[in-house]
Amino acid sequence: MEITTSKQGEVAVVALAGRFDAQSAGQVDQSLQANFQEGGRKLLVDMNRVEYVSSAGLRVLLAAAKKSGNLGGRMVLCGLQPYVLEVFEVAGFTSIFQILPDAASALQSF
Amino acid sequence: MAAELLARLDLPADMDHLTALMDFVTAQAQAAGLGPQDLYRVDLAAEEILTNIIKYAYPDGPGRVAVACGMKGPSFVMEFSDQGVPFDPLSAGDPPLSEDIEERPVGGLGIHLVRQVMDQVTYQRQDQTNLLKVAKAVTGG
Repeated sequence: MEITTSKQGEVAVVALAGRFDAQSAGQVDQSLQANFQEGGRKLLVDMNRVEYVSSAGLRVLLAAAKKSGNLGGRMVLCGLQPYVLEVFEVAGFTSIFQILPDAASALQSF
Repeated sequence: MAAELLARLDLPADMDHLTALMDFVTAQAQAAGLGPQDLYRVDLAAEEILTNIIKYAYPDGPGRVAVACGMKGPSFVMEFSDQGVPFDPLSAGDPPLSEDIEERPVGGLGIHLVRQVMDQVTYQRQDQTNLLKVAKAVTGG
């Protein structure tokens, strides 16, 4: 899993690439938690290059979304590939996450 | 086709061996000619089942897990066995798919995903062994 973090104005952008599975979930969790510790409240997780997600990945995203809500912030996901989106749908996660097609539209939503 | 034609891998049930187990399943599914969507679903089911076994089957020490997989008729089948504590994953109800993010439990989703992406899931406990069999009809997708 490749994790690239950057700032677009007030928004922390975490771009993931590769397999978001039981092996890599801890690594992503650390990156997202580090963002909150640094005071970030607006978070965009760009999943455009994520080819696979399992429940381990969903758990990390759910925990981050809850944390973000508790801190009065906002977390948005973008760029979900079709098979990844299917997992979100089966898990019932499409209705509880804010999901936008791409990074540009997601950044505009903040 | 007879069950003994399935390819089988038996390894220690720990996270250090998850990649080897997953690579084995993926290689068998690719060799069976599964398309990208079926491959994704098979990978997902295997990961969820294996991580469950690794995390919960052996609370008192090390143990082993075996996976046997391959084509049986029109379906790709996987059979997971361990000698851990008796656990029927099908006895657990579906997690609440609440729309309220605060009410969503963190976790509990793995077996729900398995049931959704596989066509058949059966559990047997015999000879001190948990045997979980799943099958996915190959769609070519």
